[in-house]
Amino acid sequence: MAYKVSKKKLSLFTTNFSLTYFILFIFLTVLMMFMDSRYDYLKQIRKDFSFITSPLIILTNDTLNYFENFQSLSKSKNLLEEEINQLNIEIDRLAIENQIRNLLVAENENLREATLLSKKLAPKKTYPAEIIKPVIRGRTPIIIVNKGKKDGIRQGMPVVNRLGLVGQIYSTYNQTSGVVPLLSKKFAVNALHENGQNHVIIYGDTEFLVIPFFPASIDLSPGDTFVTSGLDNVYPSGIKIGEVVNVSPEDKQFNKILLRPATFSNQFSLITILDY
Amino acid sequence: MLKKSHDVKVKQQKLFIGLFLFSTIFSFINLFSFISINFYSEYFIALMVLTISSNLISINITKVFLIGVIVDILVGSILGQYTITFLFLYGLQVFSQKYFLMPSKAQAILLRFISISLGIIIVTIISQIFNPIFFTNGSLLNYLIIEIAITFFILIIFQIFYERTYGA
Repeated sequence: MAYKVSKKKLSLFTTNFSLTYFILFIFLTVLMMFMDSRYDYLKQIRKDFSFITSPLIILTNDTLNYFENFQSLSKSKNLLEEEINQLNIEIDRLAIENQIRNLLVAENENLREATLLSKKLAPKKTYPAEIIKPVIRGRTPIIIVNKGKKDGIRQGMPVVNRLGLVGQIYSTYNQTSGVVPLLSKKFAVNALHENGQNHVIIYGDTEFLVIPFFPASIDLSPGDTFVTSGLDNVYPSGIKIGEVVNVSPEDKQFNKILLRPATFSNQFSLITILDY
Repeated sequence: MLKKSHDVKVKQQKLFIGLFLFSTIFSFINLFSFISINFYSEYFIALMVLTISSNLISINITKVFLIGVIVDILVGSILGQYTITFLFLYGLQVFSQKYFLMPSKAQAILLRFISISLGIIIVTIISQIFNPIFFTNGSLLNYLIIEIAITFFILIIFQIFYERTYGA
């Protein structure tokens, strides 16, 4: 005797799986992605849940840092003493440089006043800060510095050291701030070729800075440098970004340019945040 | 379907939590940086493929969604990246069950391989849309092949732990 099978039992999904719920959840997920790409909710959520994620991030980063620093910790006493001597010389040199800088800043202000130039292009204020430690949040490298909201630091402020551009303030907390370094994939800056003719946007790409599509008709060779253009009203003009290390053809019309940053965030612990 | 004993269920729930913590910690560490500095292996995809295909814990679409959101908060480039991937993996599993109710070992391995490939392709596409890395010609394909191979290897390790929960 043949049984009549209901249409529901013959349908594509006969388990407890509901196609309606599946489509609903997919729609919800797409909506989440759209909202996040537009309003950056993930950053806020990560901030709110940082009491759970921070211990894990600290645990993993500190373990790695421990192994990385193990070699330097095991240096002999003589080597350390020599390093201290070198550092003392460096401190003296930097102190002299700082005095010259202060003199130049004062002189620059006087000259601007004397020549009635706009003060718009000069940074309003600078905040010296110190790097606490680099961390990785959601696969994005972030540098934590010891100046925060209470010191007047805001999101978007440029960060430099004496060799060039270090990055940009990404998130601010009461006492600390997160800096996106140059090499982060989240980083982009409007730049100008040293000859003053070619404007480009430079992106961070983990190992190098990159200009993905640079017109092949323009001559560019390894060693050429790029500086901030100031057109984006985020970075003051003239800060050194990096120099070309490789020019490779992407297609007939464009070259891909790789640049080495002028400075690496782990090169100096002292940085300067600009209020521009 | 064979019913799992209470002991096995408890062991498998503990294993799931353990593997989730393992995946979280190792996702923050760039263990395979010697291959490429951009290379992060997808522990969570391996874990979810194992969970969905082997019934590591009892799972439904709401749980898949919630786990996806948690993983997005932990390691996602954008909210919804892993959620949509896990939902598609769950959909693929249910769809494949329709045709392979009792799959042979070779079929089961192939299905897991396809699941992992699909998961990694979806995650990479979403990463490339919202957080692009500039690949030179052909290197994206190499990246995908290595990523799939390593994630499959991680799945095999997870599978060994899973099979141990049944005892000798």
